[in-house]
Amino acid sequence: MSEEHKIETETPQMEGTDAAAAGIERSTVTPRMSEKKKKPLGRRILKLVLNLVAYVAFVALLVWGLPIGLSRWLGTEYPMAAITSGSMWPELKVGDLILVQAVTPEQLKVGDIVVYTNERGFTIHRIKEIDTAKGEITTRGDANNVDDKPVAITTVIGRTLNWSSGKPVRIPKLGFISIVVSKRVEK
Amino acid sequence: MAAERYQAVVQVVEGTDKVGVNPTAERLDFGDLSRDTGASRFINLKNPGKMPKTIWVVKSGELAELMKVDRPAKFTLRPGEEVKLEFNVRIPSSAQYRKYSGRVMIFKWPKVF
Repeated sequence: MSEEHKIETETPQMEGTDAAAAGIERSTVTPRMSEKKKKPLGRRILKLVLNLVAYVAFVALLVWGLPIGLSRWLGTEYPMAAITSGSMWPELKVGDLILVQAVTPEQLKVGDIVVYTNERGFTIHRIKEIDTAKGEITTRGDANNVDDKPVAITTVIGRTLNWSSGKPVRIPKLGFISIVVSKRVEK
Repeated sequence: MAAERYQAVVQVVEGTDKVGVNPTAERLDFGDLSRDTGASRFINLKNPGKMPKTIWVVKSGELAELMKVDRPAKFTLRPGEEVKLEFNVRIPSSAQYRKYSGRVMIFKWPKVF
């Protein structure tokens, strides 16, 4: 028993010795760390270039991949649209970026905010009336006091993607990027 | 950098073609306006100094979305030049019958380059 006890009391001493050894080891690790800091300039440049490539690839994926992904998800060629006028204020404000989803003529209903093509480009207004016999819809901007001219239902590209509350999904200010780029291209 | 601050306010009232004027020098008060009507207010800016000055007009608040300025947000005022800035508010058909307010800040600093 006394021997066992002796061993038990000796064990912590052994641990203490290990800790001391570990302490020595730690001190030997420090120079290795400093050696690591002194990586060759070539490797550091390579790392920087690789980081840059990864960053550019990520941004490219976001810029090119996101519209493609959204296009597939929403089933339309034009999944995003920027609001350029205040005709839908306050529902949609200038500079908002909205998401557009494909829709069949049968799915359209009065009150939907739709995107359709016309001679001026694209219009994003709310449906006031649907004439199924003529195959036409009449729209109007919420902030306008007159209806738009009726247009063929076939000109409709899509309807705004809405939250469950019925409000359109919009990203404020992000559309300004598209507006600024379009203006520069026009110049 | 000096800055002038103005509170902008408009009261949207029921009815048609109603325009009530509340002239005041302290703020851009567009008075009472019904839907589909508009009003303008002016601010005179003068550069009495000998250096051109950069003027930066910043709108903020809810009314800023309905308020248009007849000049770009940033422009230069030459020495001795005086301009009349027009602030125009048009009340859209979708406006609610209530008060809309905002703020206009006009920053001025000497144009170096």
